[in-house]
Amino acid sequence: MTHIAGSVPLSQDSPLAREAAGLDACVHCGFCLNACPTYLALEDENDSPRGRLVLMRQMLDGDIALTDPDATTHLDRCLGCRGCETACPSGVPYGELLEATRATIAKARPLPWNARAILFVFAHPRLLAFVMACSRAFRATGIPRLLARIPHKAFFPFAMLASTARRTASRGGSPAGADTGDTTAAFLTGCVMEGLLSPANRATERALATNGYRLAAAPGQQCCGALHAHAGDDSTARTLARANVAAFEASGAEFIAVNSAGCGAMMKAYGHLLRDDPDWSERAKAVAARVRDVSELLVAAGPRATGGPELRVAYDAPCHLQHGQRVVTEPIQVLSVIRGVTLVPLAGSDQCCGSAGIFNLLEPDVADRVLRPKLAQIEASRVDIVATGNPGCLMQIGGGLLRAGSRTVARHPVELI
Amino acid sequence: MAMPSVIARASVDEALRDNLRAIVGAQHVHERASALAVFESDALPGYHMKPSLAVFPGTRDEVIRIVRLFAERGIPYVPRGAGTGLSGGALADGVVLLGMNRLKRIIEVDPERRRALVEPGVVNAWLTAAAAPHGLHYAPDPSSQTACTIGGNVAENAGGPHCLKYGATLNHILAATVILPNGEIVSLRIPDGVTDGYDLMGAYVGSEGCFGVTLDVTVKLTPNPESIRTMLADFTTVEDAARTTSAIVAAGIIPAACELMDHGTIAAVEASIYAAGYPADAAAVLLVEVDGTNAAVEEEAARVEQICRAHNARDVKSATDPVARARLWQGRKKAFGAMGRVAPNLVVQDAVVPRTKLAEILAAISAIGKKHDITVCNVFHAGDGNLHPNVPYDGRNPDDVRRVHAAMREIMTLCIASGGTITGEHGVGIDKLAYMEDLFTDDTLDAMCRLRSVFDPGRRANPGKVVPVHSCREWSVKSVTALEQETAGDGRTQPDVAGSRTGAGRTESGGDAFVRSIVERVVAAAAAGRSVSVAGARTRVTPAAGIDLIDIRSHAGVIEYVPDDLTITVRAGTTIAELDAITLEHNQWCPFLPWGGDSGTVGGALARAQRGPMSTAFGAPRDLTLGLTFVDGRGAVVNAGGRVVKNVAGFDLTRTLIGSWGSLGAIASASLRLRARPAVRETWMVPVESVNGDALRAFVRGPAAPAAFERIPAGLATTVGGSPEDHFITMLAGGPAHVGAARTALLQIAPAREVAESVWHTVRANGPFMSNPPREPLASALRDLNARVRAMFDPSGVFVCPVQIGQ
Repeated sequence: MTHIAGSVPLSQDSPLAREAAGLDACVHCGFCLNACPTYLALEDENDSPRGRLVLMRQMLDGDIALTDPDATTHLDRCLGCRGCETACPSGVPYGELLEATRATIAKARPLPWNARAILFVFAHPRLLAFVMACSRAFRATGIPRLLARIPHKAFFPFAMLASTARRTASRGGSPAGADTGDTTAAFLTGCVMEGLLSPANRATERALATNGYRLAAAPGQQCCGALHAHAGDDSTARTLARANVAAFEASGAEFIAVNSAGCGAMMKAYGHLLRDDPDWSERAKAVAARVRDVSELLVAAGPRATGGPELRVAYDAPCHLQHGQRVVTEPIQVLSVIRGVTLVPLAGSDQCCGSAGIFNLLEPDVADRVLRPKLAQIEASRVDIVATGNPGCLMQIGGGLLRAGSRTVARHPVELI
Repeated sequence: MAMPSVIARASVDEALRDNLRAIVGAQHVHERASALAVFESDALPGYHMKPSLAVFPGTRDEVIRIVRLFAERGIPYVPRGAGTGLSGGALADGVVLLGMNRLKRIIEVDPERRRALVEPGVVNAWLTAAAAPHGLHYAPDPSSQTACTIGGNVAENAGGPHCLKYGATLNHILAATVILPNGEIVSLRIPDGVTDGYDLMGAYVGSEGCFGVTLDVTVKLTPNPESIRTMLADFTTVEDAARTTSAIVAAGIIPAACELMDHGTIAAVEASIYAAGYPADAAAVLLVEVDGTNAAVEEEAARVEQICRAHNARDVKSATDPVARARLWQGRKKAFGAMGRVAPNLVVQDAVVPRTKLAEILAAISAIGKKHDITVCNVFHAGDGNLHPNVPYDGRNPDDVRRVHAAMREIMTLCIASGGTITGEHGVGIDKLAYMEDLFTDDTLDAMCRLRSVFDPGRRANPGKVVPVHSCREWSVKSVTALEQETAGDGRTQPDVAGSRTGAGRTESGGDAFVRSIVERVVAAAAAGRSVSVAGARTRVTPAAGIDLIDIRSHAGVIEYVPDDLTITVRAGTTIAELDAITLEHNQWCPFLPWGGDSGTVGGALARAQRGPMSTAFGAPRDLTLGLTFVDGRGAVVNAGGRVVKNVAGFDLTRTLIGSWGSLGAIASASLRLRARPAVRETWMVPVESVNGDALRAFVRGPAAPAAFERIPAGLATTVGGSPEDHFITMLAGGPAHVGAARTALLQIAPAREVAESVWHTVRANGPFMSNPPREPLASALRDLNARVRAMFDPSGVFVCPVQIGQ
């Protein structure tokens, strides 16, 4: 890259400069282009992984300012789905580079107010619990469901909320056989999962118990910090990570079960996130090594077959499960042992839905363009249920289906067990 | 890397920007340096060139309006697909970049006619995905197929592992709608008869964006084979793997693909997400794929395994299920990208050498690598002899760059000296510009410039690429010097013109006495205002009386025949009978065996683009000719193409001459692709009335498709031993199991009777029998283009042609 006269490279201790070796791995082959949902939707190579890596390089070299709105637009529009990582023969650590870039930019240009507000809530457990309780109360009024039908993009969040409603009340309480297993697992209950999708959490606990896991409590656990890390608020992400490392260490459990793909990917990366913290890096690595998606644990245990109603089900792979954690076949194996479930192949099931954490709230237009083909493919598959193991995807796809008046609903795979 | 100078520069002003924004919308025009940076390189990141502006049309109409705006304003431009090229071909040096990636509609898939109509931005792999439900696929499969576009494939005449058996892009493009740099739109198609004019379709494929911009393409779709087997053989020396390749092909097997990866490549791939389970301690692996009928695959796979083991393969693994096959393939397909694990920069060469010389050349390349202390990782299309030495290096280290550069030149010189070419599928672009003069004579380079001028007299389309600017005589010395001075001022490196530039790769016919005599006669005729006419055996055409004839019959015989390379170079006066007899000695044949008597000449058949009964199965003259030498209407000796089976160096003069009916030049010699003569050949006849049409159609299009299939009239049928009624005559050819399966299929549907193979001589002498529906006359823009071709190669009208071409 040619330097513009007078350009000043980034300081060596900026997060991006510290990840610079990752940029060198890119040989510009372009194999990532069509793995990128925003490139397919926006058709601009600056909105592709190859283009964004070039923008990062220019920021690193000081050729463009961290506050340059033209450049940051393309970086802001990245979903962070990491679909490019599983297409990259050269092993560019794109996710890490993106987070480092966003953390670097965040120091020069504050995050937008709505992002800051959301991240603040998630970092404060009691405030979060209050907001979730209000959301549930609002959901119960049925008003979000009505507002969801208003086509303007400003009303999409109501569809997301309405889509989390479940007709059957959660069968709460300690699941049967909870103390019969000989392998212990501590469960990250999560923020949105516990706040809006608690029936799926209870289903997760039941499924783990049925498959021989003994659940261990992990009090003190907090938000995993993924939303903060993705947005560039790396210091809050580290604070939350330390709290979770401590909580799950204390649980003494052999495994840490996670049923949210985004949270699982984050926790598996705690070692990287805290690598420069001498007091925590080893502890973080040890905890990260014990993290498993619920589907991984179920497959490792069998999984035990269960029965249910006749359903046509399509699996849609959450990006942070297939790309972030490289967990591809396990959720399908889990679904395939459920009697009554007919698994229907879904075209484009490996493509992002556009949710990407809080992306759909910050970049609703791009998120909508990415979601559109997904909804069309789901309609074409004529299924009763789209199964996907991530709260963001459940609400993005679920909300989209609700607004489209579809008869198909989105569910977590464990909800079908 | 040295960056050649570029002669045309764009003057981007506010009016142009506004016009472009008005056409495509502001968000699809980039002009800021930060947003243009990603377009500074293709997949060869050693080169960087800054476009002045980039515009991305979203519809065909927008493309047309943009190109016409450029024409009106005299703006030079560079078309770009996905930017996955490996020759710097889509880099815009201070000119406008025209991105075609947004035109990504698959307009129509026609399973019945086995073709598809697509926009140029459609990704190669998407096309195969769209054809898959119909049991079809698009055969050319460059390793970048998940990213590269069809428009880019057409521009580069892209290859890929499977072009060993199925041919490169050229052999799979049936038609294209193209907007010429002057804004005119022409519909190109493979010519079928003189009214269609010159093979401008052939010239256009591989023209690297210099001849126009593709608006849509009609591609051929290929039926999926009944069975596919992928084999992985591992070797303790690279030379053993190379010799195995040569032995497989020499044994008469044409694998669907035959790829070699050496130790360095295996290590990079196995460290990547595309790890394919290649043995880490192997010096080289061969990935060999055979496909076809179940019976043929069994037969060939067994032979391949036997040959591998006979050449010291430690192990031969085999996979038939799609998942296991895909895993074996993914490592090969992504190997290039995986090199990023070794170092941040990468050069990759694309030379083609005769297959029989692979082992010695690989050893020599290894020695060159050691000498210059660089890492060379080989991953390449061994079956085609198409080498891809990959050299990972650190571009930030000037000493690294210098050593890599020096080594590359030595490797290229070596490949050219072996009778090879500088690029088999990546194109010349800017990367191989400096080698063009090593490979081609001045007259040949000048002829390429003339072909470019047919399409783009103003040199505005992809300026500065493919042929060095100073090779074009038409550009006066003065203007070139002035422009070079202009660009030299900003620190650009000039092309390295030092060293021996003899075009040493190709001089064999220049010194030939017969060729010299043609030159003398053409020059004398032109000076005296007289005409000449080129004549072969005159089996098909009777030249007009009273015209001076250049009779090529006396210029006969083999110039070079390397049976194990499956290539032959013959003088144009060699008869079809002689060619057949010479190749028979080695149990090979040149399967275009054209319609007409066996006393016809090779030169005549090529000049007429004469197909034959086996053309559908094995290819027409345009598919089987590797290169030719001709004397044009100015008396220049032009050595078009080459002698190796894969070659995209420069503009395609070979296709331009095939089917030119002696109107552009006198063909003096030709290099042809040969095949092993199938072990079993059976000829069967069936009375037309005795067979159900649908069943027959299914047989002809099915997995056991015959090598030839014709309908002959009653009169001829009696001559060759049939009853006095119309007959179908067919040849089944291949291994015993394959022919056995085909025979069973045929006898199930028809009361066929076997006849002697020799009846084909009579059949060919009397054919062709199927006449094509008359095609509409050419549109005026295409007629003009045809007239310009003639004017460029025969400006004074020396050659009298027996037919009216393209008018």
